[in-house]
Amino acid sequence: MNNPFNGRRWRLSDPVLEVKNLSVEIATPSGLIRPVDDVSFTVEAGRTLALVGESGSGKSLSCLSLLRVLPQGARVVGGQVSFEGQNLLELPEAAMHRLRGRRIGTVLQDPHTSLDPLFSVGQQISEIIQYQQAPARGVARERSVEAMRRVHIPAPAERYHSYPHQFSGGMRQRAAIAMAVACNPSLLIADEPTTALDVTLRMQVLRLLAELQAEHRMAMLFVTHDLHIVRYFCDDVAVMYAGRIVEQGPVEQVFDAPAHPYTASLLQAIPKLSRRRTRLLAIDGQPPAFSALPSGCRFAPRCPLAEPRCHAQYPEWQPRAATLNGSASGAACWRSEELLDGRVNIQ
Amino acid sequence: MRIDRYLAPAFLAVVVLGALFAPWLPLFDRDAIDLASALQPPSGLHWFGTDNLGRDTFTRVIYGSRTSLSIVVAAVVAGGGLGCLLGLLAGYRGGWFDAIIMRAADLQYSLPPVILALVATVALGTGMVNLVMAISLATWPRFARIVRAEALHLRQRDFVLLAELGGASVARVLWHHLLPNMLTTVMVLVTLDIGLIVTLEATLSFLGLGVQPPDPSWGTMIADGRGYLSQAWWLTAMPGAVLVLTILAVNATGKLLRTRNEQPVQRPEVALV
Amino acid sequence: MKKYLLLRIGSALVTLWLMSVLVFVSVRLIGDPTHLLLPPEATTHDRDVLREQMGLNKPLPIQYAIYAGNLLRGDVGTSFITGQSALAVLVPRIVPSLLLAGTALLISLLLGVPAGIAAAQRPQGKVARIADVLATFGLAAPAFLVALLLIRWLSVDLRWLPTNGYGSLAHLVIPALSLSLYSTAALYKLTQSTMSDILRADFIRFARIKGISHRSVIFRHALKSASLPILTFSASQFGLLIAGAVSVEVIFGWPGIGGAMVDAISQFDYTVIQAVALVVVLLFVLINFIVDVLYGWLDPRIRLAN
Repeated sequence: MNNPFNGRRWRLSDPVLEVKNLSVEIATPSGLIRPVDDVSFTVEAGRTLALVGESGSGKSLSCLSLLRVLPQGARVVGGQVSFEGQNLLELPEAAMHRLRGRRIGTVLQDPHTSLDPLFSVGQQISEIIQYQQAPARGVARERSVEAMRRVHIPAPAERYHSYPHQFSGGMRQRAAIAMAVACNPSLLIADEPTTALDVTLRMQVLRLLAELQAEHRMAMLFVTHDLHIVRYFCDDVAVMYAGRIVEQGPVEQVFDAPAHPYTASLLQAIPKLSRRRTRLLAIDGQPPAFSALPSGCRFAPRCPLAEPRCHAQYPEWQPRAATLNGSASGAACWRSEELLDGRVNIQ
Repeated sequence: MRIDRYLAPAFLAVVVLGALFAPWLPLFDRDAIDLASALQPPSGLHWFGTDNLGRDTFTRVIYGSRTSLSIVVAAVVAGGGLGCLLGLLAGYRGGWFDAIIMRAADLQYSLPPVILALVATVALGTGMVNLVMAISLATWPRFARIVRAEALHLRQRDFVLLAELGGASVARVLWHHLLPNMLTTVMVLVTLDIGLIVTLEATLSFLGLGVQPPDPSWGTMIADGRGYLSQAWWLTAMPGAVLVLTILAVNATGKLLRTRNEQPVQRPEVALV
Repeated sequence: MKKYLLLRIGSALVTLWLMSVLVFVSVRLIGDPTHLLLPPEATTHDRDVLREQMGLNKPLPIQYAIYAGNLLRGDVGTSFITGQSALAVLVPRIVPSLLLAGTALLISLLLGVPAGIAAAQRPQGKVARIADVLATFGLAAPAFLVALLLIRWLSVDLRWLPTNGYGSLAHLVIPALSLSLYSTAALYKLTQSTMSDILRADFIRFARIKGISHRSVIFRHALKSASLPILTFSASQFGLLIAGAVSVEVIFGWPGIGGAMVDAISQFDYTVIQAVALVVVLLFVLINFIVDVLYGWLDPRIRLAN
């Protein structure tokens, strides 16, 4: 298959997922809004990209649009999504359906509501294997027990017949992960998989995900608003604000030296040496409503470094020095260089 | 203003007005027997045709609506009123009041409305008043249940506690404080149930348990028309059509009223101690 | 599950008992039946003798005790008109009633549920639009009226089916159809609204993305969740159909329980009236109980409650 972006064949060394200029529109009573606006990012095999932002920033919607399971009234209005060389946006639904579950796995946020209460957990894993690999009935069962073992669910053979309400929250999420990786997908999309879990369980789930990723060199798109997780678990990060990506880059680079005031504010908002429970992102003010976006930089109204040109014109993307693995990094800020040089500081 | 949306209430208004002003409308004599004109199909003179005694069907349908509608309204008021009262007492007072009333309501639920009404008419006899009572018996549990739930919910609110502390009597609390805040819910319930009540009345009348001749009601007219089904379809179809259209109109109007009031009416709590 | 079952059984028994009391009391309210049973010339003495015979002179609680005792032995009293045991009058009528109600319910399920599923998936589609109109009409037209119109159309004009009577499949058609119209409309609306809600639920969203066939999502997962409320609703409909068939039974001369009730009422045969009320309640309670048990069985959260 030809890579839609540069015409040459997709190679295994190419990124698993390349998103360029993705935009999604939703029709609302107050008009059309774009909760996902011109979003671009890349995820490579074996690496994890964190999609970070406040709630409503468009991160979950971006994932749903990759999978083409948008809610009613929402549509993709621009951009390209290349997955293993295929343009997902132009794929017929039947082909897309074959990719879901088999090549792209998904884990959703709330383990309490993701599973069907009327079927046993084992059955819910089996049916995926049955549909995707069409083995004999007994084989599907064995494989799902195996999948449960892989995610460290104790006594999987007996637990096969248990129902979701008999599992604890942590185990339910593991079961959901088992379903997501049952067919060894090359991309895993995890939409806040640990947010609804107890703090103590979070590390377990994260370690599990890291394990699974290493086993199969899975690319992972990890949506979260917990910066601790991003720092200790993810390789690259893309920060979203009001529907756009405002900064991107390898985690270490961005966390050590943020190039956008929003990122810097977020990082400041967390006590670095704190051993307390992870705090959710919280800085003063609110993101703008999508129906009333400011002209110019969307963060400007809240930005401590805002200047007149920030309000007047949306900042150009300021790329940063390319790093070892070539992932695009940079920020959309007029004063990005000043911030990086240390000439200005946010306080 | 979309016309078709208001078609239902308009039709309903026509029926109600017709029923109210029947004696003054230029209609035929309701009971006049004229065998020469018996069993005539609908025509310019007799819009709905005539029956086996030569009586004008249209006139009888209009008078029938008088009977049927007054029974329905009376039953809603009686059944709804009884249900609200019992529901309020059950929800507000609780204790064995609640237990008894709810048990009674459950019992009535376990008997289908028609059977219940039948048994009631056996005990009470036929006739309009008894029919109203029979239908009320079948419908009060619905009101009681919902009103009780609302009362339970409201009785913990501050304005009620204030009233109680201020020494207000039970009756006053119920009437002044709880009831006004439930009015919308009750109204919604009424709109949902009226169609069923009209059907119940028609069915019971059809079975001969309602008004007696010569008073017409839609149900009795349909029952009478049954004997002439092959020769004079209009005797069944005309009252039937008006019946169905009225029920449709009632249901549609109810829906209209409900969607109008969709903002959960946060009525300022009526706290006049 | 056991606890759930026990609770249900207890509730059913209490309802039955209370119902027997209610029926006992209300039938006694009618008044003195001796006036009806004896010719007007009968003397007071004759009436007294009859009252003595019928046990009407004993204090009310004793009468109830006798009555309850009889009930438990299956004796519902003797019909004054026919002289048979009231139960003997009723028993042969149960099957026709069940047959009629059952067929009507079957029609409702076969028509209403699939239409509801289709409408839930495509709310603006053809099925939804047509079905909505039909349902609005179905909920507004009383069964007896539909019956009469169908008789005129199918039996008198087209001569396809008999006008009334009982005995063959052909006799079942019009009665069952007229009875089923309301239930079909109600089941359609319920299925549509339940399925719509379920299709928006998180677990369905997840089922769509996790990689199973679309058919599995709708017919295995969504439908199974919807089947629980549909089942409960069908049960309540069935009860209504059994009893509400009264007017239909009268029109077609269908030998069911409702018809027996109406006959008994016109003849003031109060033991039969009493018996019908009790049998109806019994059926109702039984059906609800069976459905409760089924529900508990189908929902693993109840079945396996620790």
